[in-house]
Amino acid sequence: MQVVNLSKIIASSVLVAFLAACSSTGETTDASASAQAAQVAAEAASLAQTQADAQALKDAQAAAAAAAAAALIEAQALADAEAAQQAADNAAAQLAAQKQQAQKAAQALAHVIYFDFDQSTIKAEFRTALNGHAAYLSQNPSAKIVLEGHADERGTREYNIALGERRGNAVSRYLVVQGVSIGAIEVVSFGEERPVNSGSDSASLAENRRVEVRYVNY
Amino acid sequence: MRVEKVIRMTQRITRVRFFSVFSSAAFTLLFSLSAWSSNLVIEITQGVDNPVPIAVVPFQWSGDRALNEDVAQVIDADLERSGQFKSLKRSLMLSFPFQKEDVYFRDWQYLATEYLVIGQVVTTDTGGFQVDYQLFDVQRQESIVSGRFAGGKNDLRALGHSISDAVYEALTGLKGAFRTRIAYVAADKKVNPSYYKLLVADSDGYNAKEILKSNQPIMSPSWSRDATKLAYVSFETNRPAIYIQDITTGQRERIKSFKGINGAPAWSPDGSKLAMVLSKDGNAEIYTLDLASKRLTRVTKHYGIDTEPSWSVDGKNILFTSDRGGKPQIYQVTLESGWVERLTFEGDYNARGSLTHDGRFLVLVSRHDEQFHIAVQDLQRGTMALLTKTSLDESPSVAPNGSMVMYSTQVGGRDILAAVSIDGKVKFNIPANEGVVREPAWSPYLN
Amino acid sequence: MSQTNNPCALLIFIMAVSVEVSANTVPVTDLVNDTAAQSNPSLQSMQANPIAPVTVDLATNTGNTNANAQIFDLVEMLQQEVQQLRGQVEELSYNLGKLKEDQKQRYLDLDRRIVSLSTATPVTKESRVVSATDQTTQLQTVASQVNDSLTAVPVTPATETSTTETQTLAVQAPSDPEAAKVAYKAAYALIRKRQFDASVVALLAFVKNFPQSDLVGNAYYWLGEVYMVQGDASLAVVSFEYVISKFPQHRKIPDALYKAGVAYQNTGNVDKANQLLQRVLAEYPESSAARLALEKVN
Repeated sequence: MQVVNLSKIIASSVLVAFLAACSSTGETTDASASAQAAQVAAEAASLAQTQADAQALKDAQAAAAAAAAAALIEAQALADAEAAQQAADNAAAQLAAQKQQAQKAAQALAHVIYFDFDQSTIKAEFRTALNGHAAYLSQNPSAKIVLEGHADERGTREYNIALGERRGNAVSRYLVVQGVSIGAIEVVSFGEERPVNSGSDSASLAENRRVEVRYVNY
Repeated sequence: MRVEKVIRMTQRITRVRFFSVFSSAAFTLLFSLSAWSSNLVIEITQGVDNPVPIAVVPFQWSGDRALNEDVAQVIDADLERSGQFKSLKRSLMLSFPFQKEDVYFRDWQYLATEYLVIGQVVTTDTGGFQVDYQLFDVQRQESIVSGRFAGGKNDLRALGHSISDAVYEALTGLKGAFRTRIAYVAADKKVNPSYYKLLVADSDGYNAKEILKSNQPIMSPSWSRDATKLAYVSFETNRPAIYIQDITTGQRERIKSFKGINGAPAWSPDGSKLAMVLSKDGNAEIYTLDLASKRLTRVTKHYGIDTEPSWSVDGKNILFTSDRGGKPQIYQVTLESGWVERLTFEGDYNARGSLTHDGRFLVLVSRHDEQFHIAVQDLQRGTMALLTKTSLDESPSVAPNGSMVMYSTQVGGRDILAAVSIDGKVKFNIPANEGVVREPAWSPYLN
Repeated sequence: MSQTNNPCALLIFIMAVSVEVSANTVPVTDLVNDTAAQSNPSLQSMQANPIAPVTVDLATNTGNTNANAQIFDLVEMLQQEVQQLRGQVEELSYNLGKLKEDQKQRYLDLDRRIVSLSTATPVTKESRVVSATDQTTQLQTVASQVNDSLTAVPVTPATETSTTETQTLAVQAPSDPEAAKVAYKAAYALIRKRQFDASVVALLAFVKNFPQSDLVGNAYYWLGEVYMVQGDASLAVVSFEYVISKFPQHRKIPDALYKAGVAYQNTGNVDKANQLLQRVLAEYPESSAARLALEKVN
C-alpha cells in the first residue's frame, strides 16, 4: 500500500514537469524558461519523492509500532496463559490433595458395622461413619463399594446367608437415602461361612455379626 | 444262667473252629481296620432299649487271597448302626455255616440269637464278585429271605449294604437305606492353605471321595433324584453361584447366576426342576428353575427373608423358611395357587424344614433355651419333639426311608456329623479325622 | 433395591395423610414431589417447604441427611412392626383354630360318652316313655317325689340359684331307690336333649334329695361333664374332684380323673392336670380314659 502511494506521487510529479516542458515549447519561450520548468518539475519530483519517502517511513513506523504492540499483546497473553495454567495446575494439585484427604478420611471411617442376633437394625453408633461414607461416595461418583454381610454361627446356614444380605441391604438402603447412587453399591453375603472370630462365646459371636464396607474403587 | 452256659460253650468250641476255618476272615478284619483312618468313623452313642439279637456269620470265601472287604462285617455294622439290632460277636459263634445244611439252629438258640444271616462270596467271570445270602428265623428254624447280588471288583461293600437293606426290610417291613450315599462339606481353616471340600461317601462314611476343593466356601449340597448329580453353592468366584456336578464324570455346569444370593438348591421329586433362592429382585426369594427349558419362576414375594426351599413328596408344594412373621418359621406354599401357610408355631426359631418320604413328619432345626436342636413335627398331630440335646445342631437330612436323620453338630468346638433315628431313640456320631465336616445330604436310593 | 423407593413413597404417603388430617389445606402433590428430592441430597425444598409440619420437624434437627435417616428408621421400624404383627396374627389364628377344634372334640367326646352310657345301661320301657314326655312334667314329677324331705337333705356344693330353685321343688321319699332312679334318669335325659341349664338344676336337685342313692357319684360326674360343656372348667374341677374323693371305688373314677385333668388343663393348672392324667395312666392303664390321657399328656 505504501509502495503504491509513493509511485503515484512520483508519477504525478513527472507529469507536472512534462506538462511544464510542453507549454514552454508551445509558447516558444526561451530555453531558460523551459529549463526552469524542468528544474521545477525535477524539484517537484524530488519533493514528491521526499514526501513519499517520509510517508513510507511514517507508514513503516506505524506498521512497526503496530507490530510491536501486537507482539506485546501476544507476549502478555502468553504470560497470562502460563499463569492460568499454573493456577489450574495448582488448583488440580490442591483438588487432588483434597481428594486424597477425603479418601484418607473415608478410609479412616469405621468399615465394620455390627448387629444384634437375627437383627439388621443399624445402631446409632455406626451412623456417623456411614454418613461419612455416604458423603464421600456421593461426592466421588467413581467410587464404588462392596458391602459384605455376615452372620454368626447360630441358626441355619442358608438362613444366615439371607440374614447377611438383609444386613448388607439395610446398610445399602441407609447409604442410598443419604444420597449415594445405588450403582455405587454392591451387596454380597457370606452368611456364617467367613467368621472373623472362630470362638463361640458371646463376644466372638458379636464380632461375626457384621457388615464390612469395602472400597473397590476410590 | 443261660449267659454262663453260653460263655462256657464258646470257650470250648471257638478255640477249635475260629482259627481253623476263618483265619482269612480275621485277616480281612485287620486289613479293613487300617482303612478306617481315611474315612469317617461311626460311634453309636445311643440305641433302642431292646435291640433284636442277630448273628451275621462271616461269609464263606474260597479265593486265594483274602478279600479286602469283610462283607459280614459291613452288614453287622449296618444293622447295629440302625440301633434296632444287636449283633452277635464272632468270638461267641459256635460255628460259621454258609449254607442251610450246616446251620444247627439249636446252637443259635443257645446263643439267644433271634435271626441268623449266612452267605458266601464268589468271583464272577468278569472279575467282579457275587454274594449269596440267606436270613433265618432261629426259633422257627426257617429261611425268611435269600438272594444274590453281583457287582464289580470294588463293589464288595456295596454288595454288603444291599444285603443289609434286604435283611432290614425283611425284618422291619421298612425299605433299607444302607446302600445310599452322603454328600458333605469339609473345611479346615487351621491348615495353610485353608480349604473347603465337597465330598461324597457311602452312608456308613466309607469310600469318601472328593468332588470339589476350593479356597472359598462351599455350601448346601443337594442330590438329584437319581443320585447321580449334586447341586451345590460355591463362592469360588467370590460371589455365590449354583453348580450342578455329575459325581461320576466330574463334569459340571454353572447355573446362570444373578446379582446377590444364588443359594439353597433343591431338586424337585420328579427331577425336572431345581428350587433355589435368588435375591436378584431385592431380597431372598424362592424360585424354581425348569432344568430343560431354563425357565425361572418366582414362587415367593415378600420383603422378609424366604429361603431353604424343600419340596413336598408330591412336588406340589414347597416348604421354606421365612421371617415374614418377625421370626424365622417354616411355611408351605402351594405352587399352583401361591397360597402360603405357616406350619410351625412352637418356639421362636424354626428353620430348614424337610419332609420324610411319607410326608408325615417335618424335620427341622428348632431353637429352645438358646440352643439349636434337630426337631421333628408330627404333621398329623401337630406335636413337635426334640431329637437332639446337643447345641448348634443343624442341616438335618432325612434318609430316603425316613428312619434316620443325619445332621451336623459341634463337639469340642468342632463340627462333626451325627445321626438320630426319627423317634430319637438311636444316635450315632461320625467324627472326622481332620478339620470340620458339616452339611450332610443323604442321597435318594441308588439305582 | 427398587423396593427402597416404594416404602419411602409409602411413608411419604402416610405422612401426607397425617398432615392432611392436621391441616386440610395441604396440597398432597407438594409432598409427593418431595419424594423426588429423596434421591437427591439437596433437600432444601423440604426444609423450605412451609406446608409440611412433619417434614419440617424432621429436617430442623440437624439437616437433610438426618431427615433421610429418620425416614429410613421409620420405614425399617414399620417394616419390623408389620412383620411382628403378622407373626402375632398367624399365631392367634392358629391358636383360635386349635381352640375351636378342642371345643368340637369336647362336644364329640361328651356325645360319645352319652351314647355309650345310654346303650350300656338298659333303659326300661317306662323310663323311655317318661323321658319322651315333656321335660317340665318330669321336673314336676321329680319335684313331687322329693318334695317332703327337703329339710333332711345334707348340704351339697350347690350354687345359690340352684338352691332357690330346688326349694321350689317338692321332695318325697328320699330313700326310695326307684324314685331316685327315675329322678336321675330324668336329669340325664335333659343332658341328652342338650338342655344343659335344666340338667344342672335337675342333677343338683337329685344329689340333694337322694344323697344315699348309689347314683350320686354318677350325678356329680355328669354335673362335671355339663359344666365342661358350658365352658366352666373350675366348676367342672370341683365336681370331678368330688367324685374322686368321695367315691373312690366308683366305676367312673378313671373317667373322672381324666376329665378333671382336662378341666385343670383348661384352667391353666398344668401341674395338677399332668398329675391326674398320670394317675389315670398309672392306675388304670387299660381304660379308655388312659388312652385319651396319653394324648393329652403328649
